[in-house]
Amino acid sequence: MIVGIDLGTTNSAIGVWRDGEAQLIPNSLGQFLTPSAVGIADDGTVLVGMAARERQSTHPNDTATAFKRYMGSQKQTRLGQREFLPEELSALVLRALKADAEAFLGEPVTEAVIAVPAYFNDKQRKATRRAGELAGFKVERLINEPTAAALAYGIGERGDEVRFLVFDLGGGTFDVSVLELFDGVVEVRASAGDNRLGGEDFNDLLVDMLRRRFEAKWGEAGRDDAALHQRLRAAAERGRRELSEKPSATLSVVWKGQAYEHEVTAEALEMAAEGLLSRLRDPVLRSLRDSDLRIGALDEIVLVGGATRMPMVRRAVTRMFGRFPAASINVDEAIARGAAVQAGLKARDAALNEVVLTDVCPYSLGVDVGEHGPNGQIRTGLFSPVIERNTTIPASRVESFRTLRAGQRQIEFGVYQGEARWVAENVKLGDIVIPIPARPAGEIEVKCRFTYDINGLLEVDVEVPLTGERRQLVIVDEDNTDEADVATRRAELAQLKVHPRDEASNRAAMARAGRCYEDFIGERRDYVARLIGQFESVLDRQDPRSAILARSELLAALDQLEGESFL
Amino acid sequence: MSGLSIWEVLGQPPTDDQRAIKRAYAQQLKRTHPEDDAAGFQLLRQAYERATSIAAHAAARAHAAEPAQESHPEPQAEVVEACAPEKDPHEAHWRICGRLEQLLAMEHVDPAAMTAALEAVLQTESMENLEIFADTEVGLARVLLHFAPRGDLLLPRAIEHFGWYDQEDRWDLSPEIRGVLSRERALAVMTRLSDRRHQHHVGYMTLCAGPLETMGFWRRLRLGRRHRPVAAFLNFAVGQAPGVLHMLDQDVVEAWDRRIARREKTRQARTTFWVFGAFLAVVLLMARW
Ligand SMILES: Nc1ncnc2c1ncn2[C@@H]1O[C@H](COP(=O)(O)OP(=O)(O)OP(=O)(O)O)[C@@H](O)[C@H]1O
Ligand SMILES: [Mg+2]
Repeated sequence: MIVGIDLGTTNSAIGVWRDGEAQLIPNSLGQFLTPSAVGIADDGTVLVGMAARERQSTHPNDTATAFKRYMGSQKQTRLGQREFLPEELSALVLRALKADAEAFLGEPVTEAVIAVPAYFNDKQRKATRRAGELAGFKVERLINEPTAAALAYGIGERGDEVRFLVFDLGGGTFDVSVLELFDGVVEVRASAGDNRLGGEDFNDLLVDMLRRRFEAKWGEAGRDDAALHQRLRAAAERGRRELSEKPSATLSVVWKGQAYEHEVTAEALEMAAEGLLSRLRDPVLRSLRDSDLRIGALDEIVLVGGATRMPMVRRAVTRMFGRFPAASINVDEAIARGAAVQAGLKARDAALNEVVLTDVCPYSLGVDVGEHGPNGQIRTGLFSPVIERNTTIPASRVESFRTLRAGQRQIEFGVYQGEARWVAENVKLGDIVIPIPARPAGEIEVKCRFTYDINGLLEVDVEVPLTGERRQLVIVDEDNTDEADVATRRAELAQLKVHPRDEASNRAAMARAGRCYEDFIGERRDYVARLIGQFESVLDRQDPRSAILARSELLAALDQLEGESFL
Repeated sequence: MSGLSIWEVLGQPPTDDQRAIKRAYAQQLKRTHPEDDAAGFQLLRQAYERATSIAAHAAARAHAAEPAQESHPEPQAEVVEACAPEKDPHEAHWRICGRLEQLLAMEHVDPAAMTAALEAVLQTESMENLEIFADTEVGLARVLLHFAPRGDLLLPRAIEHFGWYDQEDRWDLSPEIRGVLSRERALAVMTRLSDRRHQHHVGYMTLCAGPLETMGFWRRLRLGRRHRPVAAFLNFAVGQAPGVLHMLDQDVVEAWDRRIARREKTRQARTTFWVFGAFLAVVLLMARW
């Protein structure tokens, strides 16, 4: 059975295609969304999900969140005794999801379709693929998130020639895709996006507001305090969600035994967010331009991603398109559902027999070239696209290049991905060198063929027609991580003890109570302490039934105190 | 290539009907699935894209062949009546854009009015709409270039508003916007060149002074000897500010280019003469000894 996974910045989810429909799989807490958070408990075991998220402000140095933002980089995060790469932290999340799926389906699960932001570049995609392998999956396919959302949305939609735009603003990434459905074909016409724009950035605005407000009181010490920073982030998240419902909210943090409160209005947040909101425009424009569609030709605007719940984002969308967006799908489950549909497609499920999906490569792929500058000198490092962005894949394209210098004995092509005019600002994927006979400048022609397959694997062939000389480059992995390395790292991660699944609910409840203890002062803090004491004494009795009862009482009491907990 | 025509690949007799092309493509797609047959899919895709663009051209041609409605106000009124009499919600925006264009087209330049007109364009409510925004962005770039230099004082504001500098490093930036950016850059360099302290000030001002032939005798004598600063300036401009060269009087630049080349030649001839003379002298002296 192939599973479909949404590995989000903030939350992750897993689903399967079963009995002719996409089904989401609940985690051990009974929820469909699992926070993308990893922590190390005091006993050295690994915590994933809600328990880890709740411990973030009480154990800032033992918790990691939002690591998807660094996917594909070598940024190390220290947790307990070990340093982790973003892909390793993601692997731990994936492993927890895998365990949930196995418990739910009652069989081992080894194959997965993982959703990635459409605008992830090659490095980020490869890192995601490795994360899947580190978690023990065979990654059958990476699917673009908005494409997945469209599948979830469009499969039910049997209209004739429907065109729509998916606007996906999640916790950390922003994607836009324009799609067309006709006669069982789901065709992505164009994708664009911003890899670093999402709910987290709006939180940062609120954190900055709080810091400015209390700068004088917190001083130097406040600036570097990790626990304070996490508490500010949590307060910002809570406050921002409140502002989705109400015109104003009070952000409160407790630090060193003192409470700090600051009231923010939705209007003030919107003013501060003007810069972020204006960054929504460019990808939308680009996706429309690339798909050669006018707004009027779109049948629907589909919103996906938790951050589209913010009224200011909805208003911005309405203004941009001159109409109201459709809100008919569940914004934070759509991607996992769509990934599950892709899993069904991949398995050639009979119910999906008539559906064919085609996607595009959202980035241009090309080589570096030189040209004669205005002064007659040669400028190098210019980007020349071979496969232009938003070409339907699999695709294969050829471009010819000529020598610039007389007597040149070889040509070296750097292979790049991106849209910048100068290759230095694009992502380098590899190098390929081919010998040529010495001739006057411009006399030797070299043909460069790019082949981009359905899994996003790029193959570059260069040929000198005059001599018949050929060279080939398969861009597997430019970070040089080979099979063996992945295997050892997988073994290392497997060594890490994971907190038992059946204790996860109690663990998460305790973590939340622990955080609440620190989030309040005075009477309410004493109250939380009493709740914790009661709960611990029930747990000590080792009676699962009364533990369940006590847990729900504890959670209800905490809900009363701070409002419902959120994912 | 397989040697099949695009229509054979699509399994569809030639047609301009987009819907029929789509249907044929969808049908073939299920046979040449992109997952199983990459080469077959690419062939099909190519055929599909070609067929679609042929059909689009045919549609455009057919549209053009229809009586041009815009040049005949009367029949258009009828057409509007026939359809629902819907008012363009962005009409006001385009009117405001038109006002700016009128100001730019006028002989007399009124900076305050132009700045205000640009500001009015940027602030209309319609600019929140993506399509209006995109059309206005490119349209404005085109108009500013078209009416240059009259619109030059508006360039910085337009560049800032649309963030054109941020997009400058993209290979697909529209030529109009690229034109605006290079003009703005050239203007900035020219401002610096007008400063006496700039090392190429003299050369630049000499070129700005116009053709030597039209000058009075004394002035011509004074400016006519500035070969060296002009040559240095031209060298600098070609390498680092090609935009500036385009904005100078091309005849003047060419005339100076020729003067400099001529002088270079005479200088070379002179050097050759002296070297040769010295050589001859040495030879003669040696022969004497
Ligand atoms: N009611 C709400 N009001 C405001 N923001 C919300 C609300 N609900 C969720 N969010 C925001 O949505 C974001 C999470 O959305 P989502 O789960 O779609 O992202 P993700 O899939 O984890 O991230 P990504 O897709 O960017 O990798 C968070 O930043 C959260 O603050
Ligand atoms: Mg997401």
